[in-house]
Amino acid sequence: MIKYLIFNKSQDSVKTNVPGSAQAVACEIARTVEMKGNTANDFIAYPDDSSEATFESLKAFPLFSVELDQQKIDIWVNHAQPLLEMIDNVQDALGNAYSMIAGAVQDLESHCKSSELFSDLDLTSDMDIDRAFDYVETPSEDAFVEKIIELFDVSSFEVTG
Amino acid sequence: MTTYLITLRRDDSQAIHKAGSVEEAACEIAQQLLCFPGLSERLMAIKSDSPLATFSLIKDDVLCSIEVTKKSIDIWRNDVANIKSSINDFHAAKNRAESLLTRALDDLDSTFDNSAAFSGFVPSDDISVYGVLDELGISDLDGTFNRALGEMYKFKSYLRASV
Repeated sequence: MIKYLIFNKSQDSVKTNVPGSAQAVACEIARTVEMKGNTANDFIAYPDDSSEATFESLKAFPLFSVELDQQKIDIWVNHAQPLLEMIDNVQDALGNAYSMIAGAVQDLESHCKSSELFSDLDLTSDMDIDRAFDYVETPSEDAFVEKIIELFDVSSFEVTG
Repeated sequence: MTTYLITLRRDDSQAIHKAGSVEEAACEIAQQLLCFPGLSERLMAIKSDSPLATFSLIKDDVLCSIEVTKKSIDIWRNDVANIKSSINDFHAAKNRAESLLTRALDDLDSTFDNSAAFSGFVPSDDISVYGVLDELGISDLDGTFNRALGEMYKFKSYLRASV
């Protein structure tokens, strides 16, 4: 089992993780756990006992550590990644559903406003589309990330002070 | 301003309102405000100051009354039709969104279920698409619009609750 330290990659850095490598998987896990919309390429991973990790730690604190062996890499590739794709599909479906409903609300408001007598009629102010969609997005992703943290022994480091 | 009383057309009645007439529009308005389940052609509009209106009132045949002007009929044919169509489009969009999300969640459930490492977690247990879309606060959309229409057309229901 090798522990990898994951760092933010600076914008001018030309270093990249080799696709399919353990480091690349570690960065995929990091971006999944981080949930900030970053890509795996925004991170760089090094084994914790490597000189690169020591050198990188002098510049900035690592964001995460992940423990991986071949079995865990296989779990990531064969199980977690397909699930992530399905979660992304749900996110896309949510985005499409949001657009459909927001568009219909906009049309409705526009037809009311263009009417001489119904311009003051307020049919939509009680609607809270953002709140409704926030509610659906949170639970699934949080539960999945908790499971990822558990399976891959992910630790996150927070810099305080 | 003309007041119309609205009654049910008898099944054997041959009298049909002329297409594009005020009476035809009055029946459409009444159908909307009464939430009448049938077509508006099953209703009949009678001017309130006509002998037939008095007769219908005595016979207790009147479902409702509405007041219309040329302008309010024009509004019905133009603005209201557009707003009604937008409300229907909104409901259709909500149904499409529900179906899209339900399909995506079913696929997600099934992928989790087929995964040895992640089985036991059922995402849809935590998410009710229908509950979520109810959070939109759209339950009284039609009611609010109907109340506004009712005020505009001075709608009065003559329906009595059956005992």
